[in-house]
Amino acid sequence: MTHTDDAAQWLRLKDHQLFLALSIIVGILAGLVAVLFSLAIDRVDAVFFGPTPSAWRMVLVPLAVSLVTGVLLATLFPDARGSGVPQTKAAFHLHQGVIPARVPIGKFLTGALGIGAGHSMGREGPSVQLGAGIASVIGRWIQLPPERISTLIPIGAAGALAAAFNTPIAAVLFALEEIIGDLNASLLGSTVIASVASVVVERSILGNEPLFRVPPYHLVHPAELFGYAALGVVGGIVSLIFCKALLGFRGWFKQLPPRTLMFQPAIGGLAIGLVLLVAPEVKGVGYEYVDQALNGGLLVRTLIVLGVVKLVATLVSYASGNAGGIFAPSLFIGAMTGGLVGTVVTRLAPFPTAEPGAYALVGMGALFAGIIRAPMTSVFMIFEITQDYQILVPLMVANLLSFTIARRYQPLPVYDALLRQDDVHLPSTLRRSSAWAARDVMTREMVFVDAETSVDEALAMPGGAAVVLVGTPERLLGVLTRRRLAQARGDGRGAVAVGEIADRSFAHVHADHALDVVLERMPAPEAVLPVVRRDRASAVLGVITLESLMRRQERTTAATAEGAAGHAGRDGA
Amino acid sequence: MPPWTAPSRPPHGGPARCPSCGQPTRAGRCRSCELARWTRVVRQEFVRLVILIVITAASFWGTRSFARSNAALRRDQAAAWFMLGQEALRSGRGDAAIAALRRSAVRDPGQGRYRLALAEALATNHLDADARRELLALREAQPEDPAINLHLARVEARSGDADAARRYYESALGGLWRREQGDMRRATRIELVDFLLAHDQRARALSELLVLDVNVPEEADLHLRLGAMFLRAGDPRRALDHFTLALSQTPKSGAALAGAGQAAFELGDYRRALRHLAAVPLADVATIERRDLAALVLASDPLLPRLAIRERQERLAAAADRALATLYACRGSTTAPATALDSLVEQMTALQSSLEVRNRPRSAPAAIDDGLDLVVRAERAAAASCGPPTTALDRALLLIGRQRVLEDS
Repeated sequence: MTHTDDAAQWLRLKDHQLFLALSIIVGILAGLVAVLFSLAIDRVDAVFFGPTPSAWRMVLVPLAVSLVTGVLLATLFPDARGSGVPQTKAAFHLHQGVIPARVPIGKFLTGALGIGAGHSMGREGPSVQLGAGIASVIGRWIQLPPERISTLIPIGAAGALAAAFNTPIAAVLFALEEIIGDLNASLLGSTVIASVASVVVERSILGNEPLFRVPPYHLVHPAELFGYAALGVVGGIVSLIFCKALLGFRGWFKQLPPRTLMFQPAIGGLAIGLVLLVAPEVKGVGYEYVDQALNGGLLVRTLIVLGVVKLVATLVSYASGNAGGIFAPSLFIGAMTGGLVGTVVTRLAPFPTAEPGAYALVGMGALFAGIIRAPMTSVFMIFEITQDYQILVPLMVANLLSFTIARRYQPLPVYDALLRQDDVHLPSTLRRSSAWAARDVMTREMVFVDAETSVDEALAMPGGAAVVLVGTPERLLGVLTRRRLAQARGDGRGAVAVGEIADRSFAHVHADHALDVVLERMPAPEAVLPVVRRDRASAVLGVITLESLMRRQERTTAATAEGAAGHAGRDGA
Repeated sequence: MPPWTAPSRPPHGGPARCPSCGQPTRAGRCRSCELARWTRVVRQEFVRLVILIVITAASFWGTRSFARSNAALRRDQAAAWFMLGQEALRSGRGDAAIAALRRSAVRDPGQGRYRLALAEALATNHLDADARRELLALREAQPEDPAINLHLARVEARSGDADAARRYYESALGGLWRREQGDMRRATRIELVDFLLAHDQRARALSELLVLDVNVPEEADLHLRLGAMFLRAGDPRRALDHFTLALSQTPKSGAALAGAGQAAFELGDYRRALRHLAAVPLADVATIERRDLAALVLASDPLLPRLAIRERQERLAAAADRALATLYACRGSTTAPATALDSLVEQMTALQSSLEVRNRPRSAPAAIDDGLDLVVRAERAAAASCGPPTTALDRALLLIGRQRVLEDS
């Protein structure tokens, strides 16, 4: 060993030391970028609207800005559309934590412009993507191994969210609950460090002002829990309406011809401009009015109008493909819903009740639990906002009910559902209960027929597979059994294209799905179960048939027998 | 890290060369390889971390500068909204004022006066609960701020919580005003006295007034205000002093004249009362009534100095006629046992006959004194049995009786 070698070894950091240092740096940078993003939104708002904007300005600013961001989103930053949380989840679960550097850049630009120009969206989702993006870029620049880059994603996300919302504990929980999907994750320590570092930086820049000024609320009478339960039910229903409408509306936009993609945000911009003429309060993030609702400062009529208009405005802004999140809108709508329910309960209840502001606070949590499906994050977020344990019991009651109702009628969480619309299927957070995965039992021997092929031609094809896959390996359109083909020919439809009679809503699995999932989804013994990619669910990796399952079983049995024979031989020797 | 290798010496002699790169070595060490190793080291994560730290620090300063510039912008916006809010408040557009002031408070939450103005606007718009919430939040940060306590006192006073209001008024009095300390404290105390008087706490009000009475600046309006409050608190003497001081500065002030007249009237100085009240320009109904009553007292009192005996007798006779008529009217209207009234009627009848012209003695001041006593007793008995007197002369006779009691005591 020379001195140089010693110095080199000394300079080299051990893996855990490096990761610790990176967690702190990523946390700080994520916090800084979240603060900067928030400031940029404020500045854009101030520049475009000024203190008293005219009606024309209200209409034209969102439209003009959306035209610009539409071009940017369609050409340079296609991954910057929408919230950013689904994309971050996809990066963590499917892309080994790789988020290209242009994604955070694009998100910052289009997000700040869009939200600052009045789009009714939140800054937290984009902040999560910004933080995760920075973490990914740093991880790759430091030349971390891929699995390490991936672990930096929730750390960056937690750091950014902690600064964006000034709630460090909730940010950690959000990273674990929503991004990783596992509250027992081993990354808890790193996310906590990043979150704390981020909040320290944020407070040193913006001061220790809470996001909302909330008076101390508490449960006034035990019977009041019924009021909060009612709020939970209403919150669940509103969450469902929001999720279904968002997905439906976005699905409609996605069906429009691809050439309109560039102009879709402008459609949203025009709609928002018109909405702002009626209710300028729903402009941008809208936390000023959440604050008023939390302080009981809004009339019933105002609560209803703002709640409904915000819901519509958010649907339009998000579904049309602008960059911005649904985190803040869910809190806004929740506060209005809670304030409304609280006013009703306060007036009608035969027992003493808290003020409507307390219900607005719980309503925020209930909607968050129903829409975002992160109940623990919701509870801790409200706790951090109020710094008061007293409200936790009502909050948990309302959250649980809202969460249960929303999950019952919309089983797929909204972020996952949004990814599905983009043809991305995230892995389940359930642990594998079997040693075999779908990739172990699938076969790559597949027969594809073109969708235009006639039934007669398909039946005449050599191979005689029980199931025909319609489309190409890169784009599976549907599946068809030979029995269905024969039946079609028997009905005199031999000349019909297979694409017309193929089953397009076929069951499928992903390569990492456990065997019990495979068996659960296998439609029939003679059927075929396509194994598709997670990041592009129309692309086929292989198929699972009863035959492929049996072949795998035979191979395993043979291997086991060989192993046993080997052992026996050695024992004999 | 490549393994360290011993330098090889060429067979023909000359400098040893590094087996890795073939370069000549010195003292068995290859400079070229060492440089390469160092290059690798600097490329490693440690140096990159240092670079990251530098970038982080630069980003921090950059973000902080941007935040400061944004904060300045927000402050400007808040000030603009504050002005708009104040303007709306002045022009009576309460909702617009609240909206604008709320924006100003949100834009610059550190500026307490915006939130105070918002609370004021809320209170003006009768949104007392909201105003109270704002003020309590402010008070949490500045519990001794007199302006916050004063506003809270007003809100509580309006909502009828007298104890809380008084507490906040007292906190406001104990606080330190940022400017015009004496004036602000005096104005607050005046407001407190007003509040106490409105809630019928005259003793407490009087004690606060006595504090106010020390070092009062020579301002007619202030004397006028204090005089009125002393009157309401039941101290007409100090009231008269303040009204007199006010009159010394503004001799033709109607309010000062009316106040001085009322104070003198309550002190029983009807001559002075009449003088002031008669000089009041554009007198209101109460002042006119009081003036007429004072004049009637002066015209009816048989014991006023410098009256001829005949005049005294005539006045007493008129008073007795009136008192007897009142007694008869009262006895006829009341259902209660009228023994006492009957006895008085008898005595009054006797007095009346004794005062007939032909029966009048030449000089008997003591008899006039006794006669007036009887008249006053008769008026009081009638008032006690049948309610307040209805005629001016009855009231005047009661006032004369009160005056006699005061003089005797």
